[in-house]
Amino acid sequence: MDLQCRVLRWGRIPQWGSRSISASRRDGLINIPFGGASGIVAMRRAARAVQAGDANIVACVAGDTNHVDSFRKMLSTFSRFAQDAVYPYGSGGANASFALITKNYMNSYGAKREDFAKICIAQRDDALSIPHAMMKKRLTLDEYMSARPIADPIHLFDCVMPCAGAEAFIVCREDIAKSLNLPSVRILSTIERHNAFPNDPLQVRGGWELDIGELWSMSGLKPKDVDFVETYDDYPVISMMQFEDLGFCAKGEGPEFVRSHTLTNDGTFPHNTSGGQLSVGQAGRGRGLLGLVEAMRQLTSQPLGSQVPNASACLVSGFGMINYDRGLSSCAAVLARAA
Amino acid sequence: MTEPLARPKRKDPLKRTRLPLRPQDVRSRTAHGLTAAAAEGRFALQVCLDCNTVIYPPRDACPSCLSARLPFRDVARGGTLIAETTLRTSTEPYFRERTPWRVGTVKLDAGPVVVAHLHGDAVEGERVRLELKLDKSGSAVAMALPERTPRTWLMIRICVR
Repeated sequence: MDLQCRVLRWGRIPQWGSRSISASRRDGLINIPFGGASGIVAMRRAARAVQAGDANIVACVAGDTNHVDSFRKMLSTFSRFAQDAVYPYGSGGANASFALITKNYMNSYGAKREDFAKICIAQRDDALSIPHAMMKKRLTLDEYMSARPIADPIHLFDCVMPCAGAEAFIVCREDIAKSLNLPSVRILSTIERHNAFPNDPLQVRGGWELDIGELWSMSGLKPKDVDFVETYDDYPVISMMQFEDLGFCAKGEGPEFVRSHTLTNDGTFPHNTSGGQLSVGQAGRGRGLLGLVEAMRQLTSQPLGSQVPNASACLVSGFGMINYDRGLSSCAAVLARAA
Repeated sequence: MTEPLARPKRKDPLKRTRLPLRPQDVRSRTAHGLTAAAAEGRFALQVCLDCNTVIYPPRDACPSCLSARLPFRDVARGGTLIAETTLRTSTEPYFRERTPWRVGTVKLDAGPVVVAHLHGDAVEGERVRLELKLDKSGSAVAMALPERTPRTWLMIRICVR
């Protein structure tokens, strides 16, 4: 299944002069093929459609399942670049590409495996209260460090688990949500960028770096004002990059930032509060919505797991579409509890 | 005059027979230019006729000026191995039977970044030279070798095939 942003009710759109679309044909459908960035990208498209009066209610739906060999087929045909320039090289898939990114990041900024362990272990702690998380046991540092190597320096617990699953949310005006008695959150600001920094030899930053000032100034908040953060955690190094690029610390200070926080829901800097993909699982096309939907659950006080205390604002970010060596798409949103 | 062929040892019938596998040979139409170069022992990448950008992976439009005039031309093969990894597992059966397998990211002096198979003596952080080779499937792959080949290695088979 593909991510689909389904426009349920078109407003009155004049077509062919004064005619408008009849009630029975009020459907529109937009496909958002941006992988881990698709949740926020879909929310942006939906919000613009609502703002422009093209639609009253937009449902953003994404889900996936696995069949025999479907993961290998997905990797081998992910993109033309993947097919030509990385799949023939040992076919490690995303593990290999992110192993190279992780190794380069470790060489450049002195991150250690223990730092990535901290992210994975904190997320596992958060996931223990989620009933349908794939990983249900506490992860210890020993288990993390001695796990099976996959593509050095990536080991087993740095990798997400492909699984079946789906996520969805609705975008509409606040008064419509209220009239339907739907709990809601407010979108304070969003950013989106594709193919930033094509000349970096290996990826050490995402497009967030170019837009982050705009994101925070539009939202009226500062990094210290958000109560929790949902990053895209296909591999822990990408979460660490996001801490830097989203303004929580300077480039290269990611490892030190991780060491100075608990990253758990009950501690300092709650991060990936449902356990993220590293503990809940990566539901194919649903992956881009996991953090976004969890953020909405936290801000409406209906989490599946533990609640972040006094959660009133958060930052969610997305990342996706690795070509042959780097992820192309980055996006982020600042959300707040409805007034 | 010639030694008769030795009869192969009987295979243990309980042991799994290794299947004759190939790495994936599917490439885009444009990427076959790499295979043509590899077959002639050349190191050729696409070079934009309008802005001289050296391009990899193969494309149909220049990423810098959008020109469509992108013939394959011999380019400098030197570069630096900026990161390496050793694959311990693989989704592809051919490689699964051959792990551990090293691959790495090479920043070419000519411009682009190439993911390549690594020769056993290619060292992270050091200079390498890239060659285009035909792999078992008959398609081109890039292989990173140490910049200079010591004399002793000349006796050693270094190609992938």
